Amino acid sequence: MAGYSIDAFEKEIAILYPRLNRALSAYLAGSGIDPEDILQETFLKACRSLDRFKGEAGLYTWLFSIGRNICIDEFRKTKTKKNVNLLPFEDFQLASDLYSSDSEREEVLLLRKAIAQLPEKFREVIVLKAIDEMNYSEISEITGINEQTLKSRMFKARKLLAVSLKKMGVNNP
Amino acid sequence: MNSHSDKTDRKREDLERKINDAADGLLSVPEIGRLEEELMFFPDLHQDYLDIMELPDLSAIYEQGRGRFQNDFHVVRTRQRVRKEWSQTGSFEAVTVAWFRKYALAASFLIFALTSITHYFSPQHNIGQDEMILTDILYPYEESSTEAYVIYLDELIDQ
Repeated sequence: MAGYSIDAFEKEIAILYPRLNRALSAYLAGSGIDPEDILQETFLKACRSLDRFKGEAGLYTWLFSIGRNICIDEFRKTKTKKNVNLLPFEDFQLASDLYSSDSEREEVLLLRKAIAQLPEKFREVIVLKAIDEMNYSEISEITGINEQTLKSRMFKARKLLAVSLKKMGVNNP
Repeated sequence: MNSHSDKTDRKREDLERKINDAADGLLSVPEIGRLEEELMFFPDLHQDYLDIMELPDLSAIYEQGRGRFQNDFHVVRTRQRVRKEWSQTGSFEAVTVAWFRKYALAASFLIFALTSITHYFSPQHNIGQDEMILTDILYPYEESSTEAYVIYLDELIDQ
């Protein structure tokens, strides 16, 4: 397959955009970086490189890799990795109409915050595996890390998340 | 002592992998039973297992982005920007590459053919007469050196 046609790519945007928005929102939560800016840049970069997309990886995986690289550049620029723990609780706003009760809303809020506080390498694997529901093979393609290491990292990420939730007083989420 | 420690470390790593598989929903009920039995010998890992298995389903905490948003404002705007970007840069690159692939071989043959024809019809008498030979370049002819040699012989005869 030589490249990907612009027409086919444009049609896929309706499916790709919401999923990527969801994953990047989780990945960037609390960083101060607007996921919308990263999304726009990701799609424009992808559009410029469409002829280089060979179809070996899935289109979404390829797109996420582009978005991830942009995020990493942004992390370097703003050094948000160091500041993420200092973010106030108010930075994690949620639309109240999405949740049936205040307690449910608060629980989601705490979970989002706990994930945002994880070190970047653990947050990344949690977002991709548990939130974006990728398999380890896809995550390996994106990160360049072998599957065994990813599984080990996922165990540690889950463990850290559980500890963090306990500290927040969420004993049985 | 070291081998015992290595063995324990490997066992712990193996159990950590199994706990992760259990959290991913990959283990069957009998496999989970066996894992829990093994974890009895590692109380700290057993606690990790309990904590991890209690974690909620995280896939539900970012609900935006579920399904297809055909007419979502952001999707429409992204489509427009992608189309604009493509018309400015992408199409130019694509056309250039496509033209190159299509016509590069034909152009090579044409240049080769033209060169051959030009060479074939060029006048033959030039060869060997007006062309400079390599030895002429390397050893340029100097009349003065020959004359000096002849003068030298004449002088010898006179003597």
